[in-house]
Amino acid sequence: MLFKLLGAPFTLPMAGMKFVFQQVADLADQELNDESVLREQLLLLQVQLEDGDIDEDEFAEREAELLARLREIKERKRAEAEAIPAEANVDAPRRMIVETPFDE
Amino acid sequence: MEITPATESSAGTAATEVEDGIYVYSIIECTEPRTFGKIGIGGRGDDVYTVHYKDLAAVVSRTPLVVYDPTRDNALAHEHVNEVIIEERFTPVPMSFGTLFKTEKDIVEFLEDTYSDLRDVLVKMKDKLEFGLRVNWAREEVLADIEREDEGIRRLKEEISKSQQSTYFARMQLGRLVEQALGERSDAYVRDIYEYLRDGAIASRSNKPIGDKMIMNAAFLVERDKADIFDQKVTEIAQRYEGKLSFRYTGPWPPYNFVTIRLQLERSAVV
Repeated sequence: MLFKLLGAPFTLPMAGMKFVFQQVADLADQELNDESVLREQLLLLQVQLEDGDIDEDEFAEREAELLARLREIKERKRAEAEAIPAEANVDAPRRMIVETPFDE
Repeated sequence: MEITPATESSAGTAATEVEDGIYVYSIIECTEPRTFGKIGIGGRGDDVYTVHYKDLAAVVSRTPLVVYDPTRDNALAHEHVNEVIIEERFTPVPMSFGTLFKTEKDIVEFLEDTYSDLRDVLVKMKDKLEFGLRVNWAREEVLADIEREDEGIRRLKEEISKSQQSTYFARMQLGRLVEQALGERSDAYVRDIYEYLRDGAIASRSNKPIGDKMIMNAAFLVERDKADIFDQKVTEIAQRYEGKLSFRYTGPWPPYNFVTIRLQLERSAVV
């Protein structure tokens, strides 16, 4: 992983560089792993369709692309979850959460 | 409270013998069994009906036990059911998209376990609806305004166009000033819109704008009886900013932004 390769920061010439690289690595990691990035892109796509910036065909194509990536991430997470302790997998009990930001 | 969830099977695998589950759209106050038409998610035309516990009911339909992708079609199907419920004068407390249970008995258990929380929320949300308001700006129009009205920016622009020397730093400076002025305008518009609509709504929530044209992405909680007044106010404020801002006004929605019910795994972060 990119993050691990950059794990020798002392060889880098400047502390500033290290920071920049760290950020790049974090972003790359996030792009690969973070569902929320994909969800935001889906939202953006929706807005672009409603604003008429893209047509139905383009929407369908890009939506499929994003969903495929989202599915990949979920699959990987599920695989990871199953690889660790048995009780942590999807058959674990779930709690119902009622959220009312209205209260705040 | 612990609820055994439906085991998730993957969507899109050989669809021959997939077990049936029950999809939950929202919770309403309702004592008599009801149906809302053959509009269930999944495209099979499943009947949408109610599962009861005391005076609460879950609005549900049968569906193959699959994980639903958040596609536009699926989201619209989920949404349409809640729309119909609102038209029938119920106030739905929405479940998050994609909530499935294995059996009706599981749903009754869920209603029983969360009864007092659900009752509280239903009382709070009774006869309240959500409206969405997204505002895009015509950046170029606003920019033209700024260049006309802002003395400092106008002067700097003139200097740059007259100057014989390198204008790199002046241009940088101009860019910074323009960005700052744009930001201030955007903030002022958004403040003004909230201010104008405040009286018409019980509460509002500001979400992150999506994309670079959007300056406001808000949800308003409005009394059902006062929805007409709120509509009127939105129309008025939209007229005030015609040419500069475009308004996308949607609803009525269930109060998605003001209450959600979701399932969380107790031990794992994977939901």
